Amino acid sequence: MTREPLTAPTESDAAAALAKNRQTDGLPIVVPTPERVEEMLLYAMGLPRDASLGHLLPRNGNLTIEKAAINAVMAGCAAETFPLVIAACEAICDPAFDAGPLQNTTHPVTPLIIVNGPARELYGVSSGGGAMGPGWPVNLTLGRAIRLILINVGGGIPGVGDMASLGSPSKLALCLAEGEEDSPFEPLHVSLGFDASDSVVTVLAVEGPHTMMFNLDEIENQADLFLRTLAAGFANPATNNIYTGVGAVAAVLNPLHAKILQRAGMTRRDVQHKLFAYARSTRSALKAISGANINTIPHSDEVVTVVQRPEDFLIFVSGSDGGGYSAYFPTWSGGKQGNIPISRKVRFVDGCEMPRSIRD
Amino acid sequence: MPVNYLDPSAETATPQEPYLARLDERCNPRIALFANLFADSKEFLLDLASPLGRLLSGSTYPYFDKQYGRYMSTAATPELRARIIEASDAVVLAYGHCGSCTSGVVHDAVLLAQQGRAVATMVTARFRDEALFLAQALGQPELPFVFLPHPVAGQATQWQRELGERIAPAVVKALKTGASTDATDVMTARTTVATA
Repeated sequence: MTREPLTAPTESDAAAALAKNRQTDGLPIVVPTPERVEEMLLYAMGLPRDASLGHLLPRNGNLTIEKAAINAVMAGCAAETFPLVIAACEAICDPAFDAGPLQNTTHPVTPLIIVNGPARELYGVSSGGGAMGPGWPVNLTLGRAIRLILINVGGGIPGVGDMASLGSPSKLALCLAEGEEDSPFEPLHVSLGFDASDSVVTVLAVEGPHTMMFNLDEIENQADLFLRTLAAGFANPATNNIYTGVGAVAAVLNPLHAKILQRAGMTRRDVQHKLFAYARSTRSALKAISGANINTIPHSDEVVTVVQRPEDFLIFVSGSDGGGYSAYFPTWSGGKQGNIPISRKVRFVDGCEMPRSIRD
Repeated sequence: MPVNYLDPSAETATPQEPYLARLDERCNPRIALFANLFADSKEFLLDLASPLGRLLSGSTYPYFDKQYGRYMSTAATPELRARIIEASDAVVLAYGHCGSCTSGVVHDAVLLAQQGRAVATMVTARFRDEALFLAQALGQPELPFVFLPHPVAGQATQWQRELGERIAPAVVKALKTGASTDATDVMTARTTVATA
């Protein structure tokens, strides 16, 4: 239900009030005037403003279409991109996303948002060079909208509902598209059971990206060495996953690195199986390095793995092909499921096959 | 020209309930000690049984925990909760000492209270605001807490035992009256406590 609007003498005063009430991410916001919110709601695919997208923990706030629109305005989202915000909202409200303890943990984890399908081009979600960095407004505003929603609807206020010891710049926005055209594998969303023609938003709660360096040369077994290097990153004793061993982790491969695997004839499934074989350690080795961390391992086997199944490695391709860097994302690995990826289709206006392009 | 704008926040959708559970100490109460297995929580609770026993005559202290630290961030399984309910008249929980484990311990306390058990939930000072926020978000804003100094984990055994001695009356008060206690400064004389 829509409340009466708040009033301030000027836009600056309104922005200051929102900041004072801890309803922002600390950066300047676009003031969510009724007119701006109404424009955002034009792209709500006909859903009523009080339709619920779910309840968001830990506050258990009701995430309505209107609340999503208000926060999207504050984030600076172009109104046309609102269907992406809605899809991401549906994903983070899924109980399996475990938003409550994810927001509460002292571990600085945040939703990594991956966009697949035709919506990438139509909305201008970047998958190219620097896609996770500055310069890509749709990536940044979509990621920021989800952060504001986690704060304002989920109660993830730093020091109250978000207890991250250090936080992370990735908590401001962490969003990119998959470079499907640069990938030797089927698109990520197809591997997750969607049609190639679907537009899909996938979220996984991760730490910020960790760089993986791998320089190319002429040796024969590059693919295997590449995967051993990546697996060593996942299994390093400074991350949660090697101790908890559940949930999912992610890696984004730059196109050059992906081609190494392609030349070796590997499918995504092959890559996942190799990583599962390599990303492991032993209880005794970990104990020698990290002491009490070992107490969180929920079983007594000597061999410990980063995840439980090969398919728990979420592998996708993005970025430029101009360097030797890919990235991997350790995860919290706590909660009921150990945090897992959640995907939702981007819904378009009834009767339309495709979303409207913001380039029209 | 005044500017209208819309509130981006949502209130909790959880119905708010009064906290009504109280310990009746007339019948040799069974006080479950429920450790989430954050570092030293088990030892702290087991040591706490001694000063509690001096304050509650005829009391007994069955012990429960979450088996592995990995489970500290989630609510106990229904099966574990049922065993605790079956074996106890009241529950002392330790402790909220990190972000997600505070989430887990407050969830447990609310669920146990909703099943009629008096609870005393211990949370360290650093996570006090989170615990109070979660109690409201989970519909039990009156949930009784005993707020401890931070940190407790990693302190010397003797220091922890001394803390247990000093907060035991607050734990009993929480169980019997539903009142919270801020005991975050109770160990300000910590330098006088021998370190092991």
